Amino acid sequence: MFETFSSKMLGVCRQYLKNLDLAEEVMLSAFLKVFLHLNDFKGEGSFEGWIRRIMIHECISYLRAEKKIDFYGEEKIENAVEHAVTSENTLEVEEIQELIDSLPEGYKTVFVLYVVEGYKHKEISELLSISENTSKSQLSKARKMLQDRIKKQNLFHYESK
Amino acid sequence: MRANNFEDKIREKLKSREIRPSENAWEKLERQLDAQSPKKSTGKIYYFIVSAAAVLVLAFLLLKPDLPEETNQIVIENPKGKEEKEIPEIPEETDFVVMEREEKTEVFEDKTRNTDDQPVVVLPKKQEKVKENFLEKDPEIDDVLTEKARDLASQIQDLDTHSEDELVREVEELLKNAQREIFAGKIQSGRVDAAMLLQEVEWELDRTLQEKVFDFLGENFEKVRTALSAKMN
Repeated sequence: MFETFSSKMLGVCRQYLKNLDLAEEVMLSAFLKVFLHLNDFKGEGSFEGWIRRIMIHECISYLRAEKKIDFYGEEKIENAVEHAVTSENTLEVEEIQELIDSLPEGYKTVFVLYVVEGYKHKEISELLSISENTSKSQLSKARKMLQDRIKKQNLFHYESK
Repeated sequence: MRANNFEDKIREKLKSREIRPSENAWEKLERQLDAQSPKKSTGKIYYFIVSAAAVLVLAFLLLKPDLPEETNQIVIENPKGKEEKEIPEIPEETDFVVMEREEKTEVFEDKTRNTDDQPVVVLPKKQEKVKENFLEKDPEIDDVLTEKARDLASQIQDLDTHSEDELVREVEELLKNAQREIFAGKIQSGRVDAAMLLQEVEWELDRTLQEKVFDFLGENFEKVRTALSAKMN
């Protein structure tokens, strides 16, 4: 089971955690819970989906414990994308991850949960203990920030030619 | 629309992404699983101990009504202290007298008090000791009895009787006469207290003399011995 799902689940954890070693550590912690609670899987939905949810919950628990998620007030916007991002249509996964990593933790978490995992704002609000409006505003800000970054990179790329 | 395309692209790329964990990732997880296992087994052991304790407590509560009886038995079985308090020590004095003529009922009683109100104390060894002490007390009495018994045996062997009953009567008469002679001699010599003779020594001497006589006579006079013993009892 570990052999089958570990690579995919490490990709999931990496969405939320910038550091790959840290992502792996959290993934292992989540797998420990998977093994200890195998009997709790009731067969509702796919087994992979069940493991994936455990991974996401573990990542968010870690971020909360480390107090890295702040949905209120201005967060420091990291000076992220150093590599050239030519076009959103030609974005490679590493580039996408870099863009996402450049977002503040609150923006990033809501964006990944909504866009990648397909969670609704209600589910996100319950999972992160925030209001639905906060979830919506965080997503909106995340989108705008990403678009601006891509535009800037494209302009830089275009001008550099 | 454009945003949706962009996000679809992100979703597609990230969902299909796989990152191979480090080589020792599984070993790390295995260690964590091993560390968790003892906790589980400890929990099972704890659960087992608690269950066993509950069973024992339940068993104790069910058997509890029988405990008081057992406790009483234990108290009764402990003779020390209680006997010393309840049964006073009897001094070896003449206040206590052998009352029975049979060996099986060995009762001592204080004759100086009202016998109805006094507790009866059973001391078999004590009674036996008194008898032995009396016979051993004066070896001269024993010698006189032996001497007299030998004479009586000789006289009895010389008796010319027609029936067993007549023989028994003759032997009984000879024994009584011999006994009177012995008592008379001892009283005169002051060796035997008169009260003692009347109450207990008489029977003792009578019995001892008879036994000695028939020891000399042997098995031929066993019927006469039985007949006389029956009359005495």
